[in-house]
Amino acid sequence: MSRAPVIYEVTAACTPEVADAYGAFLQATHIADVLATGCFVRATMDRDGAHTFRIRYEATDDAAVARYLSLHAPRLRGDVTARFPEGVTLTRAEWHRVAAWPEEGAGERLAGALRRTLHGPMWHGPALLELLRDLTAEDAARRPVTGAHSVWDLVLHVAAWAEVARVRLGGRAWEPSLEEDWPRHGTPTAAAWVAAKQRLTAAYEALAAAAAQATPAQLAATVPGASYDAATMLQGVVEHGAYHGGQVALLRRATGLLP
Amino acid sequence: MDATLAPLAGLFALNTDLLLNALDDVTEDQGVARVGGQTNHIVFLVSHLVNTRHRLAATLGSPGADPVAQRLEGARSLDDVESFPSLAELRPAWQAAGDRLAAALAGATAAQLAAPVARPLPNGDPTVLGTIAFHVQHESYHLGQVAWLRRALGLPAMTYRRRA
Repeated sequence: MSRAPVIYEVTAACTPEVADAYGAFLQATHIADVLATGCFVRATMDRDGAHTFRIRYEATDDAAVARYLSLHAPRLRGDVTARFPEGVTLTRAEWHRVAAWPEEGAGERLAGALRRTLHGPMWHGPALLELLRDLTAEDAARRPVTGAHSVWDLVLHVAAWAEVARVRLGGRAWEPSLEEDWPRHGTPTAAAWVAAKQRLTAAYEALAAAAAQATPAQLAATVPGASYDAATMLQGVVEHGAYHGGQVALLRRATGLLP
Repeated sequence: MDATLAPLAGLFALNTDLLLNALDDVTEDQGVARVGGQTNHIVFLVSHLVNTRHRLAATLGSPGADPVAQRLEGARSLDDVESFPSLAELRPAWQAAGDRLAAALAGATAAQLAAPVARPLPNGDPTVLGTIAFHVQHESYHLGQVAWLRRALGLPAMTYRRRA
């Protein structure tokens, strides 16, 4: 079996009637479900000018794809078929990477780690979005430990520090205030909870995109207002997300809300 | 030290201090308390972290012995472990594991870091460097849990101070 990265590509040709709904399903649910299997390290989703989507899942090797196909694909394909019994024609292909330009560097590695914190796969427990997916606004706002933060508090805090890092990576100093460090969420409505999760996703994705494009010189540059370099800051954001992700996992376990 | 490895080594050093901070004033009874009867306890998490640091150091070819390896051997969860070390044993064991890992990281060569590992972790980087990066993330995950557990047990929040 090949040890080169393998791209498992799915093309979905949709009818105009279902295209938008199918795209939304891919973005909100399906791709995260596929990544949650732990068989792929990242995914990209593209749309042509009309009604066709292309999703590329990257695996480390053939064995990971084979594991996906045997253990997980039947269930996930069944889920797609149940939601979209007609209007979507799927074709699949596997590609073996020969080379990449530019070669994956430190920025790409950091971007991958940032995305992994959010989407997985993680070896030691669920990733952040996996932990949050089926949590209600009410449960996210609960404070089972007096004086300690709720899941909602942690989500906004983790998002805030990815935002801070994004600004700092752009060359501007930003020392967040207490309110910016631990944003308050107000009334815990379902819509506000969705917005909080979207803020977290947007903050990490934007930071990952910026990290992927950072040059070696940018990564080695001292962060404005700090004593460490940008690579250290980005690695710190990865660890910060993992640190609080572990806490969300325990909060769920302690309150009987297992993922 | 390799430029990509340096931030990771710095975070391991930070975690060495932070975990000791998280264990400040934790009693032996608190160390084996399971919040809500469901969570892992602090002693299990720290034992696991000591164990993984030694295994990572061994991957880098560092000589040394892991004092908790035998107790955790074959265990997939807390309930599989027959006897745990005490917190009094784990605090110096954690420091020693940190010292061993720091020395191993300091001595790692570019060729070592780029070498493939026998069992790649699921982060898309099957090299020793990728394995190191994954381990620091793993460590932060459990460190966050130990910090949360000490709050749940009624102790003050973990401090971020660096230790001498």
